[in-house]
Amino acid sequence: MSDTDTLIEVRQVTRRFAESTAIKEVSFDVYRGELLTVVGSSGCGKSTLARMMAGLDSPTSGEISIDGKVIDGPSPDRGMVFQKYTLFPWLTVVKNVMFALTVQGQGRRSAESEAMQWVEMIGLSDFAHRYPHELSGGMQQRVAIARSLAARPKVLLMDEPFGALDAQTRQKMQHHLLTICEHVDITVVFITHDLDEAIFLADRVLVLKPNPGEIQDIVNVSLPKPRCIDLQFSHAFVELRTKLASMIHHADEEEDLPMHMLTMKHA
Amino acid sequence: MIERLPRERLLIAGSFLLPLLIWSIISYVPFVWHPNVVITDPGDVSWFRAGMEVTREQFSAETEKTTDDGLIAPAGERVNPVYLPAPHKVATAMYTAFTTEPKRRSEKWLHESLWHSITVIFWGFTLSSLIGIPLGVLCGTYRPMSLLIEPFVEFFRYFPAPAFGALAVAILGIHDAPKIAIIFIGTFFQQVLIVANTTRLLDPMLIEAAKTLGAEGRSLLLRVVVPGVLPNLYRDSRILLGWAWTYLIVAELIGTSSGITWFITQQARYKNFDNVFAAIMLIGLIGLLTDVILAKTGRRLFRWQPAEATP
Ligand SMILES: Nc1ncnc2c1ncn2[C@@H]1O[C@H](COP(=O)(O)OP(=O)(O)OP(=O)(O)O)[C@@H](O)[C@H]1O
Ligand SMILES: [Mg+2]
Repeated sequence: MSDTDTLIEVRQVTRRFAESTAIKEVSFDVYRGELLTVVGSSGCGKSTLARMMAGLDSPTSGEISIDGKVIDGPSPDRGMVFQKYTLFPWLTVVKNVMFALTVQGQGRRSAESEAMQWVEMIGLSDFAHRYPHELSGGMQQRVAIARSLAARPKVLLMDEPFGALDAQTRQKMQHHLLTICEHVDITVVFITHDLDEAIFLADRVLVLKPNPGEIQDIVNVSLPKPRCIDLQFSHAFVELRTKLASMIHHADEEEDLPMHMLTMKHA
Repeated sequence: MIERLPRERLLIAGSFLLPLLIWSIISYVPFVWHPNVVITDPGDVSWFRAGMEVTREQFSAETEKTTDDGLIAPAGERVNPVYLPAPHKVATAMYTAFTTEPKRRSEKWLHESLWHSITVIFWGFTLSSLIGIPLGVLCGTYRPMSLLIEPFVEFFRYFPAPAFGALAVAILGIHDAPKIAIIFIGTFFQQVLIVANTTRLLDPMLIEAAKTLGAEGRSLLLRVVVPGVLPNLYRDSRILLGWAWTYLIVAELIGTSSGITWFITQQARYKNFDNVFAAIMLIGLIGLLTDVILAKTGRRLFRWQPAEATP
């Protein structure tokens, strides 16, 4: 792809914590309009990477830029959906979705009618005036997505947003997300440790390897769109899945070597 | 709204009925305690007078003496000491205290005393909250603020509020101002620390989510922190209000004694212990009633909370 298609540039980013290096010298691009999924075993720095892209955390060295501007804090042009439910419990569904709009000074009336359209889009019009605790986990995450999108971000960062949902709901949510992406002009960085999810959603899959978090590979997913559930049984899907699984497994095995563990502990 | 099961209602009623039952047994069943005898007929005992209260030992000793000497034995009834009046006496006292005019013109009716106490509490607590709650929220939100304010507050809160009594009178005069000041001092410093801690307990993920939605500074404080901690602040305030009542008794003794405390000390001096009990119970009732009303209001105000989160 050409340079003009790049939305986010991650350059030589390292994030060290007191006792560990979560991300080490990671560089990649996120293309405008794509859905990039990030996979890797637990603790390999996926959340840390997403938080740095959101501006909620900053790199120890290296930099991340969006549209050529270096990120130095959170901003509504980078929405984030967390694994934990983070709707504001004191606001109704529609008021949650209005949040970004009213914070930016938009009038109540127009903000509300705009928010209602988002609520309609996620299929929760009947719940517009309910409070978050009256909603199921899947519904809450749908509202969280709408709330982020209402801010008109350039990119939507999603950190295992469906991680707490049961398998069936999770599948429905994946469909919802893909449908939304068809209708809205948005770039998505989606973090998961579920390989099926990663492949099903992705244009590209970024594989991280742990200790320290480094890029193992970036894999193109050239499966046809729109994606449907049967795809998971196709030869291409299974092949890709096996490839990614062995990549992650390989990276994990490296980590599990006793010698490695010893040096880690003494470090 | 929490629906209470019938069994739960029964237990709640029982929590009041049980102490009342114990009190009634002690008061009305003679052999449980009743250590004294009130003389109905002094007989030939020279120092006995009708209506006088003596211990059972004295009474039986005198009865023995008179029968041995062939004189008329005294008669009497077993009673509890004056400082433990029976429930019906306290109930009557509560009623008569509201209906009988004070003995001296300068003295106040019970309800006037009570009302005076309530206004003192109200002003002390309101003034403290007006400054303490915003200050606490700021301390809980902004670390530099917390570092600047909290260490001193932490130090100051160990000063017993009543110790400032004499000082308060010297500065503020003898009327209500020093009393309000004592309640203020007793509440304020605890309030700042409690509110700051409550504010710090707000889920940091909510703040992060708000930041990614464009909230910062003032909008973050007013649209996320404040509404997020409000139900917990409300609960804190209910507890703090209870503490304010404990400072009231000391506050009312400084300067010119006033309010319900004046009534209690006055009645105790006349040994009208039924009135003393009546007044103490009134304080309890007022406290309980305000708390129940505040709890109900709270549930109405914070409908967005799941029912199990409200006590
Ligand atoms: N605030 C922090 N302080 C210290 N160490 C941290 C902090 N956040 C993350 N780490 C460390 O950085 C590493 C990567 O953490 P991170 O949460 O990014 O992993 P992850 O890939 O998201 O894992 P999971 O799949 O379990 O969510 C871990 O070793 C973790 O202990
Ligand atoms: Mg994570």
